Amino acid sequence: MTDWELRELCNRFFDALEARDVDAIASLYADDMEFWINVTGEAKPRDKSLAATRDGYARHRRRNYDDRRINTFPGGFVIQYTLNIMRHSGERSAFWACVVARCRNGKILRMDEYIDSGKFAPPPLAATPEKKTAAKTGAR
Amino acid sequence: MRKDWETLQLCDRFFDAIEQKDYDTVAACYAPETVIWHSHDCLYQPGDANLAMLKDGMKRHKKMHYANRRVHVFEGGFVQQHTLYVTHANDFVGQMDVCFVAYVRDGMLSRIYEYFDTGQREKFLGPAAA
Repeated sequence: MTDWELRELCNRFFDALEARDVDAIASLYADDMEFWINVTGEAKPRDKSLAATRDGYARHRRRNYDDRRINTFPGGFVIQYTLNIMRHSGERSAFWACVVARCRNGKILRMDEYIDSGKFAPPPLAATPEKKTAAKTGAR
Repeated sequence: MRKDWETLQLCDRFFDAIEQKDYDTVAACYAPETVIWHSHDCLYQPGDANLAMLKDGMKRHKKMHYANRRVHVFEGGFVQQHTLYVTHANDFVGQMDVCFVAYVRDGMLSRIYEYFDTGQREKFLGPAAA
């Protein structure tokens, strides 16, 4: 795949994530695709990854993948981005993340995502009084 | 344009030098303007402050090992994914998965972005860090 094709694939993927278009995301995954994330250290197969993406949408009103810095290498790309989240409560938070992807024949074969779970705010209903105060600041 | 192998050599020289506690070689990999950004605070750390931190780590840690290095070179830099194993003074071996994105100028590291999960502090620093 050329540099241009890899960049287009990368942007199509993140555009589809923003648009909550799981069918479009699925069309970009190879059949034997795996999605690894540093928080669990586990690689999910294609179907489980798609299910997790679908389930994840219920937790937030909107997600934007901004400040995309994409670099390509033979057979893949690395993207650094800011994930801006708006919760159903209206609270906003931002995460800085990085994905390294390996691609083949116009499809994504493997994605390795690095995020900082230390910035996750606790779910509002499960939050302790102290954590509720921290969550209100929106600083995490 | 620098060749891929020169960038790969820089990458290996840098991480090998940290493992070998070779501070001078580590420092020589940094350009004068080097800044290091970390995903936990999203701040750019000046190169000299980062080198001081690395020097301190070389004194405090028994061993540092970058395992499972996967390096990809792109135009103007590289990305390395690795698992960092640190043997602390109390013999606890901490580990952390890291993604290291580096932008290179004239054969030196110019800007570095390090992504890791502070939610796993205990796994890296030991139970006392919880």
